[in-house]
Parts: sequence; C-alpha cells; structure tokens
Amino acid sequence: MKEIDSTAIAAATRRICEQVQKHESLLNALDAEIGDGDLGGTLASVAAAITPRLDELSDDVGVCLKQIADVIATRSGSSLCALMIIALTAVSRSTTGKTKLCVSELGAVLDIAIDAMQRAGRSKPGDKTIVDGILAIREAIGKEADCRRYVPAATRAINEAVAKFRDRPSRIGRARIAGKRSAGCDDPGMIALKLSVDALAGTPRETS
Amino acid sequence: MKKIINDPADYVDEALVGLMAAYPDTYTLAPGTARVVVRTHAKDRGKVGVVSGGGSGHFPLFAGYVGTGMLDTCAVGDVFAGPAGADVQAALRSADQGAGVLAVIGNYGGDRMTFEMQVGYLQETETPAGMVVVNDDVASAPSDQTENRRGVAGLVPVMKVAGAAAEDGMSLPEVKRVAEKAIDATHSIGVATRACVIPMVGKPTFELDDSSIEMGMGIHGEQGVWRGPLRPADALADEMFDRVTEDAPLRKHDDIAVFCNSLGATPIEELLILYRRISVRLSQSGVTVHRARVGHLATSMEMAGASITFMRLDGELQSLLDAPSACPFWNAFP
Repeated sequence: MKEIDSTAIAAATRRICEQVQKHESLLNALDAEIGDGDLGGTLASVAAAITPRLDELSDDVGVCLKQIADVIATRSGSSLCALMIIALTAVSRSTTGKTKLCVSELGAVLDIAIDAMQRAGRSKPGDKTIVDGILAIREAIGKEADCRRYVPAATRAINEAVAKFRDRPSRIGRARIAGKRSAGCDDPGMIALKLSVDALAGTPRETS
Repeated sequence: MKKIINDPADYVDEALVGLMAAYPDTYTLAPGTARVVVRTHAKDRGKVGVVSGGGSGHFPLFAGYVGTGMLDTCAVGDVFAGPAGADVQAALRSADQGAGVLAVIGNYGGDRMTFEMQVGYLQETETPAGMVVVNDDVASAPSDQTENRRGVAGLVPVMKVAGAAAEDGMSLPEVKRVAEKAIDATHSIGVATRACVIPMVGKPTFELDDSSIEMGMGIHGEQGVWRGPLRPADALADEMFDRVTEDAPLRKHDDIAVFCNSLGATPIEELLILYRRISVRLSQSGVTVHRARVGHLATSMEMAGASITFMRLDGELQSLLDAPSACPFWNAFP
C-alpha cells in the first residue's frame, strides 16, 4: 500500500509552488477577465512564502498541513486563499497524530476539504469554482481501485471539468457579478487547481 | 498609470506609514505587525472592541476609521484584496479590552470567510467575539438575495454606530444588536464614470469609454445594472434615489442620515450638484434629513463616480451617529 508522509507533502507542495509561480501571468490574465487581474501575483506571493518553510514541516501530517495553512494566512485574505486555508485546516484536524496517510484515504480527505469549503464559501456544485474541480477529482479517484492511477484520473477529471465549465456563467463571488462575461472564461481557481494537478503528475508521490 | 507613488509593490505599506506620520495621536501599528492599524490610545478596559478589515484602495475605508468613537483596530489587505488571516487575528486580539470584540466587515467572500475563521479561533480561547456583515449595495443583488449584496459606503455609518455603542459601554450582544439594526436600515447605490488602476496590475480594472457610465457599479469595479451614455446629474440622482427607495421605501416623517460619497476622483462640487437633486427628492418624500455628509467616505482610488447612502434613523441610531468621535476621517465631514 502506498503512503504519504510530510516529506511527500513537502515535495508535492514545492512542485505546486513552482508551477504557480511559473504561471503567474496566465493566472493574472484569467483573473483580469472577471476580477482584478491579480490572482497570479497573489498565489505567486503565497508560493514564495511557503517554499522556504517546507524544510521545517512537522512529521505529523496534520500539523504539517496546518503549518502550510498558517503560512498562507500570513500572506493573503483572498477568497481562493481563504478556501485553501479552510480546506487545509479541516483536513489537518482529522489527520493530526498521524505520520502517514494511505493514498487510498485521499477520497475521504477530499470529502473533508470539500465539505469545509462548501460550508464556508456557501458554494454549491455547478457554481463554477475550484470546488467543482475538486468534486470532479474526488469522483474520478473514487472510481479507481488502484491508487497508482489516482493522479492520471485526477488529471483527466480536472481537464474535463475545466472544459465542461468553460462556457457556463459563474454563479458565485466576483465572477457571478461579471454575469454573462464569465461564460466563455475559465475560472481562475479551477485553472490554479489544474496547474497543481499537472505539477503533481511529475511528483514522486508516495513512500513505499 | 499615472499615480503619485513609488514602487507599486509598496503602495499599501507606504500609505500606512504616511497615515501614522500625519496622525500619530490616532493611528499606530499593533506591535509585530505591518498591516494591523490600531488606536494610539487604546480604549478603556471593560468596553467592547470594534474591529474591521478589508482591502486597501478604498481610503478612508477601512483603516481611516480607527479612532475613538469608531474602530479600535483594522486589518489591512493588499489593494482590493482581503486582509490576511494572521492580521485579522492580531486585529481581533488587539481590540479585546476584556469585554469581547465585534467585527464589522463588508460582504465580500474572502473577508467573510477569513473573519469567520478568525472570530471562531478567538471564540475557542473563550474570548467573546461576534461579527456583522454590511450589505448595503442595492444594485448588487435583488431584494430576495440580500445575502449576496456588497458592502459599500454604508459600512461607514454602521462602523460609527457600533463604535459609539461600544464607547458607551454597551455589552457585546447589545453592540451587535445595534450594528445589525444599522445594517438593516442602510441602503446605497453607486454610479461610476471612470475606472481605477490597481498599482500592481498597472491597467484599468475595467473598460469604460469616455462617453459611458455604469450605474450600480461596485467599489472594486464590479459590474452594475446598466452601462450607457452619461446623463445629467439630476437624472442620475433621480435614478439612484428611485432605485434605493424602491428597495427600501422612505416613509413620510422618517428621520434619515444621507451620505453622498465620492468614489475617489469625483470632486466635491459634483457631489454637491448630485446632492442638490437628492435633497429635493428627499424633501418631496416628506422625510427629515437629520444629517447629510458629502465627501470621500469609501473610495476606489481614482475611480470617478459617486454613491448615495440612506440610513433610516430611530432615536437610538441617531444618538449613536451623533455621539462624539475623535476619528479624523469621520470628523472630516462637517
């Protein structure tokens, strides 16, 4: 059975941070369609704050996730970052005391994250947010019996979700107010999620 | 982008340093923070602390309203971005004088989620804490979806009411009650004639050609209810008056406070021209204007445009609105 420890979490987070920083302009451009145009800069700033702290993470998985959440909380109060903090904090609470998670537990972990994000963000499925992307990933890995296929399944799922939602209008947040303009635009949060999954596709993702 | 700034990345922090340099008897930073503005002279122990926070780019909103009779502390975010959770927590803790704290924030997703989380953490330490959310912008959602409405200039009189209630020694539940009453009584609408520029982005937040305006635009440039040719001020005033009062009817003999706000670049003369027609409509409706304030309450940097806010007053709200305050930016209005 494959397992995830804080070393794997640090490695995955480092990849995601590099990816986000590399795509700062893309994310800004997407955000400019329906928002302020600064999401890329915000996430890059958060990534720059997280990266140096990845060598200090606790061996306790829950504590490690809370440490990452706490770093985000020093850098940004944007909606997307607030949702990330809420998700990490919720998962942290249920994983504190563990030094390893089985990859097969990822479905249950995503359920905790989704529940926390939906309650705090007051979003519903179909609102066209990062949560819709996570829901798609959750459904996809739930259908995979083999944990080794989780990342390819997640990659397919997020790409399909992005395509499916592209022409729909946003139903929540700043993007909702953009109204019909949001139809035909990719949600920046979903794209940030897609970029993160793409980054993980190259990560040594488990300990044996 | 033609702004009087240094490095765009330093916009917020340099503005805060300037604020404290200009008004050292009012504003300082919470120790160990760069984005938590607090009163230089803390409130007496035993009184409820009133906290706010939000993105920069709206000055005097939010940090400008720290001061005796208004806010105790304020967490400051990047331009048009919510404050970081760590700063919100520091603002909440700094405001606690032993009687709990009330957060007064605008209805924006990031602010709401961050403050909810941080208020929750504070409550876990057995410090009484609460939160109210201002949603006065009638153009941002229909009347059956007020939970989706934005907080705009109406934040200011609500902060004043909450701050005065706390200064008066009211308990946390009472300060919350009166703040919620103020929120329910407050309605606003704005009109924009020119976009603003977020320093780090470097280009206008939206496109609005020289002859067009947008009715109902939000203070971050959020889409309004229509975009079209510029109209005379009286026509704009009539429409703004009608939209607000259709949502929140004024009754004959109501007492109200009126706030006529510049979004930043619109000069006070234009606000006065707008108010000229607003005051006629108010007079025709039979209400009594207890107080009008005209000026820069809640801006969007160099966005051009204006908003009007009506707060219906009862004796309690009137008394709290009139209570003394030493906040320089509340007292900027005669």
